[in-house]
Amino acid sequence: MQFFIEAFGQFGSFLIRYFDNGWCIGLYALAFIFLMIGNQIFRRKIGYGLLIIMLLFACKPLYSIIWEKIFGNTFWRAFWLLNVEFVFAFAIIDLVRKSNQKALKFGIMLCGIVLLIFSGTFMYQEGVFKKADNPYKLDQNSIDIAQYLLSIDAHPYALCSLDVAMQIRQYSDDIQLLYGRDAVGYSLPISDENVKEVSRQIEKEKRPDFAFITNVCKQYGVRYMVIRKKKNQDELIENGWRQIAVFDKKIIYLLN
Amino acid sequence: MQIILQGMMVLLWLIFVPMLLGTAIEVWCQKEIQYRSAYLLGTFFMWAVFQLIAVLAIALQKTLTTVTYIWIFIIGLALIVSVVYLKTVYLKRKEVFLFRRPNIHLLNYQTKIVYILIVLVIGIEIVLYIFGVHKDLDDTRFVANSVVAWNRDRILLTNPQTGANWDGIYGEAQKDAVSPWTIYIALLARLMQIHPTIIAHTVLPVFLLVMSYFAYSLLVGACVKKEPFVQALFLLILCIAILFGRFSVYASATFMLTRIWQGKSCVVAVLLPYLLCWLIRLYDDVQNKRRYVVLALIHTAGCLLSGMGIILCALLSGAQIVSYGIQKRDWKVWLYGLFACIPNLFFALLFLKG
Repeated sequence: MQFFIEAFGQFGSFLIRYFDNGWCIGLYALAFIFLMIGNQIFRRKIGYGLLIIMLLFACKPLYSIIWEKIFGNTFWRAFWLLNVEFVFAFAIIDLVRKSNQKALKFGIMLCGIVLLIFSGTFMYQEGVFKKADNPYKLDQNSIDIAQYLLSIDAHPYALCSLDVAMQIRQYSDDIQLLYGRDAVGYSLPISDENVKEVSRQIEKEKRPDFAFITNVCKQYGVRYMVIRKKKNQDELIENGWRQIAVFDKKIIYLLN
Repeated sequence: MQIILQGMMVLLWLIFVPMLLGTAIEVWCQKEIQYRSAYLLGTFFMWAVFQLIAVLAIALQKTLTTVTYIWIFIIGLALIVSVVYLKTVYLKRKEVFLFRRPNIHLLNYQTKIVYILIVLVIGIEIVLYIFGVHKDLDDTRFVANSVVAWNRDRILLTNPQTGANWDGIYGEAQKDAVSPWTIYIALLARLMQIHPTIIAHTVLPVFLLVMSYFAYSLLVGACVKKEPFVQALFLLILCIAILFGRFSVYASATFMLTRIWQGKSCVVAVLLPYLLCWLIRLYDDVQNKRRYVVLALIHTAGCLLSGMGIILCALLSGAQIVSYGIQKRDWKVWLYGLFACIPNLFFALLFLKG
């Protein structure tokens, strides 16, 4: 028993991560078995192939030799092959077709739909989608900041807080940044320790070290800074920065 | 005036061209045309051609302009060949071109109501994509790469996060070099004269979502034949399953309905359902070698989208074809299947090397 638990350890943990609850795993297994037994088209044209895939993924030696190298920690993407929604729908419709009476067919379909609704999660919960301010689907504030920088400098080199940095280059490639999401390890993680430290300082709520930040900016030729108001804002002026614009809660500074 | 021109370019490159190319492929491969399938195949053809050109161009550090001209030239040639071929077929077999949609008047009122509900659900999803925004941090690389290529003509030779020039391809860009979907978006932006971020976030999602439901409707049709009401119900239940499919942020439905413009989302929402449909049709026609050529085309299109496209397409096709070979007791099926997976093997080697 321990062998099987260990054998399915990684597969099992990713399975749980993908489905997020045992209910859905159980329902999928039930739907799959039902279709394999009761529907020839599913069994021959889809089911056997899916079974091969499941066995390949669940095999522990294969996981460490192949799947871990290919998928890394995104092995959950392999479960996209299970086509969960399609199997659920197929099982419900097959059950409906197998019933003889109209009332029973209707009842089964209704129960199936209710089961789908209550075992799943509604896609458009609060916060998933917000009303877009523009066709770019970017923060309007970040676009306004980008447009302002481009109006005063054809190729501005800026240091921005991370939330602005992640939006601004989707709007314009003419704005160069000291860092973006690479500050948190994506794309090509930053190797320069000074730039890493700047990114940490800028995201501090209270008292970033503006003297250190200014030195790094001078070293790299950064002329603009876009940040939220900080408690030690006056230190910026002492270090040679001049406030030139305010957009919502973001202030733009120019290095003299 | 510019909006009219942009609209015409959208109609040309996202509807007319794929429809014409796909119709030729459908006629070449099958005895009848399903226009939804034709549209998908035409789009996959355009993606496959781009994949073959772009990967080579990126390795040789060519510009987006070069890639665009070569791609337009090949697609133009393909359009001419398609028109000539379709004209030849039309003269011999006019009946192939009959628009085989269900006669609306023959559908009972229950089926019509179900289809109205389906259109309503899909319509709401489209409206949300057009007027809503779902932010995803992966766009700081994906969309930024498109913007750089469109603006500077440099493909993946720039840090997307900072805009600094590179003398080679580094970091996660090495994955994008093998599956340059983001560069395809830059190409569309050039052709349609629309900013790539707008293409990615507003224009493409509409077409990709429709393509996804085309694929699912074809899959439903392949599993349930000649029962319009059952097919309609099947599709409605599928729509509901997708709508309530957010059991985790990793679920396929989540990627389909919140960030379909990203390559990996396209794989799960459009490519895999259509691939499964194609494989189901293959089961009944395993000796038709042309189906395997089209399968190779679908695989190549999958390779453009994402590393997941390279791997998952091969896995799905491989597993199904192994099963078909055993069931049909025909080892040649495996050989043909292996041929169809050559693009995946090639790009997988590049992907893993990168």
